[in-house]
Amino acid sequence: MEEQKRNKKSIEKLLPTVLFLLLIFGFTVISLFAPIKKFSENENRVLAQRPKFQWSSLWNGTYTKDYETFITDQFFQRDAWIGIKTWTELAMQKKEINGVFFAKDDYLIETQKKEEVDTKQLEKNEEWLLKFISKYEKLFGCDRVHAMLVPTASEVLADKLPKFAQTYSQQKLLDQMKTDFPKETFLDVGEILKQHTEEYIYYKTDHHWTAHGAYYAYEQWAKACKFLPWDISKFQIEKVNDSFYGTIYSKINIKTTKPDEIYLYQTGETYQVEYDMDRKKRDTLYEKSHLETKDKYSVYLDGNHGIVQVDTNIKENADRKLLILKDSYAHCFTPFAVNHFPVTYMIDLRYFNMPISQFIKNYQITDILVLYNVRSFMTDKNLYKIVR
Amino acid sequence: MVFSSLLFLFRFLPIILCVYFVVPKRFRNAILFLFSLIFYAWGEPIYVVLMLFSTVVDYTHGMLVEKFKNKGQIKRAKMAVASSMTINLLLLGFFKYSDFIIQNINQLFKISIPLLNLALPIGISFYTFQTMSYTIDVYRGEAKVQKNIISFGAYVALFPQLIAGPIVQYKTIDTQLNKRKESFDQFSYGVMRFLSGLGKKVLLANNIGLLWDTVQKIPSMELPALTAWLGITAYSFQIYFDFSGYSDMAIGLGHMFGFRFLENFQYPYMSKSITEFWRRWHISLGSWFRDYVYIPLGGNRKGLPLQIRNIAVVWLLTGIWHGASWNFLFWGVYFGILLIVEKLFFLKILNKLPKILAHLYALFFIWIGWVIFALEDFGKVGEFLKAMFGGGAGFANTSTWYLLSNYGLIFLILIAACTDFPKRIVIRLFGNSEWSLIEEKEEKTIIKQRLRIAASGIFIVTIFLLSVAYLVDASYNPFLYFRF
Repeated sequence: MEEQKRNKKSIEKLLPTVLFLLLIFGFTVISLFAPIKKFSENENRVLAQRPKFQWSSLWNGTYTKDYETFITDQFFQRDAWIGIKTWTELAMQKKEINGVFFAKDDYLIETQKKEEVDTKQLEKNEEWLLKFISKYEKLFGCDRVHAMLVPTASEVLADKLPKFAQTYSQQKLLDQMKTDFPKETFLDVGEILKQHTEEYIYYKTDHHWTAHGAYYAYEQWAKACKFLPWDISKFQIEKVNDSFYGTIYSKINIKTTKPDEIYLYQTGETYQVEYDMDRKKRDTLYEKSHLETKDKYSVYLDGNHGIVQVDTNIKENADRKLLILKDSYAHCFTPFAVNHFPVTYMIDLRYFNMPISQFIKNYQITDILVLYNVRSFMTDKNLYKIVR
Repeated sequence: MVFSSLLFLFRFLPIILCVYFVVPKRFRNAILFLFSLIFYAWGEPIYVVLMLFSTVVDYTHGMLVEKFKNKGQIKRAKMAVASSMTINLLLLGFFKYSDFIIQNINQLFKISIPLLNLALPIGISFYTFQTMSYTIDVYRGEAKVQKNIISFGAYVALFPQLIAGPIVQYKTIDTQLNKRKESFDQFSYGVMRFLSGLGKKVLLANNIGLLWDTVQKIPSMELPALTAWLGITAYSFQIYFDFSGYSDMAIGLGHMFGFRFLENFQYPYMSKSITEFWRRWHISLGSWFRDYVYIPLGGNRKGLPLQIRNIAVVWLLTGIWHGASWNFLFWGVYFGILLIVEKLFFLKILNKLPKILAHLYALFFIWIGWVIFALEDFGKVGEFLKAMFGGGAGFANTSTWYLLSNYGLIFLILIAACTDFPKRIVIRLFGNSEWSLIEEKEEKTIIKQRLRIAASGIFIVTIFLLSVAYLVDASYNPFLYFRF
């Protein structure tokens, strides 16, 4: 008995030391031998690499800083650790973690704080957009020129946010812009989306809207263009994936919700799609190879490109050409819009440097749609290009 | 480098532990010295020179003091002490206060002397105070002179307490510096202390710091009273758990290498008066000022008026020690006044009040103190105080309730954690543990011991894993003492 007690005592003395040493040496060894990754698919960013040693960079402090980022970025099982953190925060009853609301019905919704709005950038972007739309409204007419800023889930699905949660009011901004813009050029799709909040109009784990949500906006846009929108029954809706964990999931890394589903809206039409003017043509709007990757939303028109041209055999508006200036919200919208034009161009200002006025002239554009989600419109740093 | 980083946990610490325990004892101080310099240089390579300078200067001054004392030349010994203090204070003054002084001169005389814009060497306020204590202790005969410059260097640069204290007075580790015995027992205690500190900093302080960050961004005209109180309470918890967390980590690391530093915090928010608060908060700074300023000035032995003067001097200095800015000076004066008032008559009244009222009194004035401390700008301090008493945007609004729903549980945890309640529960449940270093007279049962082993194992693994998880996703991990 005495002996046993003494034994236990020595275990008790040794245990913290042994455990602690195991933990720090264990993870050190693992992290030293784990392969260095170039890119994190989950976070969709390039990871820091081992910095090159130079006396000058050591002296001015950049080497040590870079080395710390390198260790953090390359830490063994980085995503799993972030998941542990999220679980802890959930256990602590936090309603928002890493800028993500844990909303009702399993929605993960990005926060947007009033205090964090860059009002200067926003004002500039409003001004540029207004200038651009006003100019072409005079040239082409108000049926042919539109701006559509799509409110994001934090606005449309506000009822699903945690109790008392407050976000920046995108609707107020839209209301203001609607009165500022000429005639019917500013399309406020907030109202129509809010009528369908119980439908699957936003992804639960990704910051995009779904093709289904985009369809409602398409109807409104088509009517504003004086077209007859295609009825939903004209599309064969194909579920192509049910294991999509999107960008918002990547911020928290825990699977509290079921993955998202991805639907493609197929028609019997033939399409010719040309990316970045490199003469590489495709005959489909949907690049299914992306469904095998993490970034599944890129199935719609192959993700981000500077310029995409879609040719169709549509006879309607035979002499007209549509230009869509856009962010990625347009990728699942454009497949609807192309059905009214023989030629549609889609331009992403981030990757496109020809002056837009020159492009419109050279390519004999007759119709224009500017399509952004409100969040990215507010922070976009490339909109100045729209008035060049 | 800071302790709460992956770099420290998975590069620096494993390497120094290996090297330190592999080399023979006589080289261990050299290893500590060398690694401490690397630790310091990691963030600011240039200022290592400053630290080496400080080491050499105080080493020679210590030798001089000893030499003069042995020859009976007390006057010369005094001169040597004065010279050491002058050099240390000049160092501190130049790097920490010159821009503050220049700004004020510029303002006063409407001129524009260019600012020096020197980066404050991290920890300079801590190590200059430590080295000053050395020469004074030697002069007073309270510590033996350190003849080995490597051992002395290890004391000055000792990485566990280098950047955020505690301020270790030389006399308290004099003998440990040359003769210390590292043991599993002490190492285990060090592990427990280190992990408690890491948890306090990474899991508690950083977490509640986010709330203060949010509240701080709200314009004072839109700030309801309850939100303001939540905000400053968050800050009060943040600075306590951050600072005492660092101290725990320092003390814990010290134990791993065989040192026993004195405690730096003793549940300060359980105080029933401001006097008591300052006996429990940043104890090493308080003792430093007591031993090297207050008592030499005469302390309380020369009558009340002089005692009040002495208190005033100490608190002006304490204030400005915390940062080169008027608000810190004012913060010191604020506490100086409270302490004098308590000394004069208020303590007697407090003692008669019900305990709960005394607690509330102390917390109230500590909290107001943190407003002055945290906001730095007098205009902002005024507006924030106004908002705290309803002059901002009423009592509460939706976002108040939102913040409360987000942080309510964390607040409860923090409230419990800043009292000795958890410790008492642990002792009640598991008995006094080995690693608390308090000898227990009789082991009650084997079962209690088994429970204790299991609990400490779970504690270690949980705190460690959670802290690492928070460090991997380090979006918010501030270092609060860059002004000290």
